[in-house]
Amino acid sequence: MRWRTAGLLLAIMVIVALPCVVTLNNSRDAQRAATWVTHSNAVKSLTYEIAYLMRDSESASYRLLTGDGGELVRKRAMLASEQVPGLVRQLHEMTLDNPEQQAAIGALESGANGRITLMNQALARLQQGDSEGARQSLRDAGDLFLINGKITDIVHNEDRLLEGRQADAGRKAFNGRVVLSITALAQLLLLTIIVTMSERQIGQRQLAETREGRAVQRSQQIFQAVREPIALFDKDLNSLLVNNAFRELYGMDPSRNAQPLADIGDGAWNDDVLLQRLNDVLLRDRELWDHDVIQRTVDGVDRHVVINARRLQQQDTDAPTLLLTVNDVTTRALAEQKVSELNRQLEGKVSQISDVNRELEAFSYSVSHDLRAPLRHISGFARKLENQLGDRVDDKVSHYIEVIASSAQRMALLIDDLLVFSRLGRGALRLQAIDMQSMVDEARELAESGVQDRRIVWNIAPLPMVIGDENMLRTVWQNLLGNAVKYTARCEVTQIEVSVQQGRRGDYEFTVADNGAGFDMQYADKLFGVFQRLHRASEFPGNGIGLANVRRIVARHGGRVWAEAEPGQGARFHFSLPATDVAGAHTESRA
Amino acid sequence: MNRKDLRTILLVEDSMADAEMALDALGEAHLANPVVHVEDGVECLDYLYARGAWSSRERGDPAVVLLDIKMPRMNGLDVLTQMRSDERLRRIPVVILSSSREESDLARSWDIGANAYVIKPVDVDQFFEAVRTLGQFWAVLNQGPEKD
Repeated sequence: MRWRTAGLLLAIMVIVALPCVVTLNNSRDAQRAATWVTHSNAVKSLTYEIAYLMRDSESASYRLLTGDGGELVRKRAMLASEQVPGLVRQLHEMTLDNPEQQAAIGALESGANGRITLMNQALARLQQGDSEGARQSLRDAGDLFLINGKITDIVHNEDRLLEGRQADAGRKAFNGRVVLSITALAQLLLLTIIVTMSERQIGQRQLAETREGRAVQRSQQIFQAVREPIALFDKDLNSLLVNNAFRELYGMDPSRNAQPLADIGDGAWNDDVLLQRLNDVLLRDRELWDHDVIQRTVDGVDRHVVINARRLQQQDTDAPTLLLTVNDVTTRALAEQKVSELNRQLEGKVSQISDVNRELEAFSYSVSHDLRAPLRHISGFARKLENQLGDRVDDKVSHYIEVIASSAQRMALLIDDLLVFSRLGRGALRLQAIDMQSMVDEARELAESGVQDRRIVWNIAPLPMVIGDENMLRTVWQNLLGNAVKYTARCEVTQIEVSVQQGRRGDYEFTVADNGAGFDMQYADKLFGVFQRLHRASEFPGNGIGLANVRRIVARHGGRVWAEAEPGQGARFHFSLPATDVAGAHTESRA
Repeated sequence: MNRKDLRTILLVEDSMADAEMALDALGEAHLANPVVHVEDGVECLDYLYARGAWSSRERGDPAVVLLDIKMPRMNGLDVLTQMRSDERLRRIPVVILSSSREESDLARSWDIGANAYVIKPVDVDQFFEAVRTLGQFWAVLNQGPEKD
């Protein structure tokens, strides 16, 4: 920048000073040229005067010769000899700087002196009356001392000198003009550059100012537009800048400036603790974080607000300012209150549920203990009765006692089943990744172990990994496969198929299909009820708890179970399990 | 017969019917050991500590305690806990004899130191067989540490 300025100043000096110098030079040259012209003209006129005096004296002499002349003519004839030598001397002095001219003047001088001598001789002779001698002298003077050529030489010389000097002066003047023109151009150029640059700088400054103005405007707009109330206060807690949200929340008069904080919002801020905290922020630079306070705002509503404040140092003043933001969390607080209310209700419900569960637990415990004991006693004392009767036991008595004992036995089984069913509805699921394939294989082995002399063709598709309670899902498969084996007992060749389909949402639908007895769809709704049976026990044994357990287990896993069948045409049992997001919970397909 | 053979079998059972059946079953086992029947947990501890109604009983610990769980006043699990925390009763074999198939009862019994857990079968033959076997095993076959 400094170098540029220095360079620019130097250029200006050169461009402005040079024409000045050149102009001064030119005018001096012109003056000198004019002097030279005057000088040359003076030399020439002196020369012509000499020539004129000579000719005039000669012609006067001739007139004297012819006797035609008086005193005046005589004086004219004498004039050359009186004046010419002085003039020639004068001419000499004027041309001292020019040797050539000196030589020419020297020649003129000798010529003129010769002629003057002869003219004086002629005049003397005339005076003596020797008119012929005088004529001869005049003739000699004209013949011997020619001066016209000399005059012409001097004049020519002077003309040539003048010409040369004028040409020189002209050349100098031309050079001067050229330099002037160039510097004028340079000045123009310089001025143009200066004007352009300053224009551009002004433009840039204006642009920057416009931008800054826009940025300020934008931040103002943002400041005014944000929904959070924001305000800036000076060190005495008088308002400096307040956005619309703040103004509206506290009903501030837009025309009033510098309102004390304690007066704002009908004294909403007139809280000693809060004002003390804000003063701490201002004076000790302690930030105020999430200060909860309830303020009655201008609309008469008690609002739960969170106040944040920090000190801001302004650039234009040393005094600190306070930036204050107000966050109205009334709705949030209400919502939180509602949520906690709901939570309390929920906790109440949960505790009710756990009470119910505890009661159920106690109930089933009691069932487990207390219902079984009388059954044991029934069968035990039936036996004691049999022993007591001894020989009096006949076939009938024996049969009755047998029925009593087996009924007690059967009721004990029913109680056990009921307890299992009840337990399936309680307690938490122990979820883990389960390989359905191996679980089905185990269940198949178990189902087959109870039968003999049967041809069973299994067709088990590749099954995935799922997330579930292992014991419960094992019960599902054992029941479904056990049923499939049980209800196909009368088939010559049993066909049991296990397959799976994956639904669009990643849920699985498992199917167990058999070609067994099937059932009438009319009673399908009873299929999954507790102790509900669609076949007589003499046809197919069982107590009707298995499918109830299946439904309960599947339901607890978030799935559902259903079946379709026709009497004599086999049955298809389906159950679904919802998608579970477990990486790698899929086995390789096994053909 | 030495003293060991004469050790009693202590049957703790509140149900008179169950007790009668159990006593029958133990009778069928033809054991020489006397069988003592008490009706709840409190009486069981009275017997074990030889106090109260049992303060004048013959000295000596039972060969085995057949302990029901669900009883009035003090239940079987509390009795077992008390026994296992007492230096003098710690080593007496205890067989839980209960109707309960509840997993929680089984787990808790084993946790607090039962020596066996037998579910009373409803089937009468199984019941007799179970009690008979128990009596024979614990009263005759099982060898506990000699006491001085």
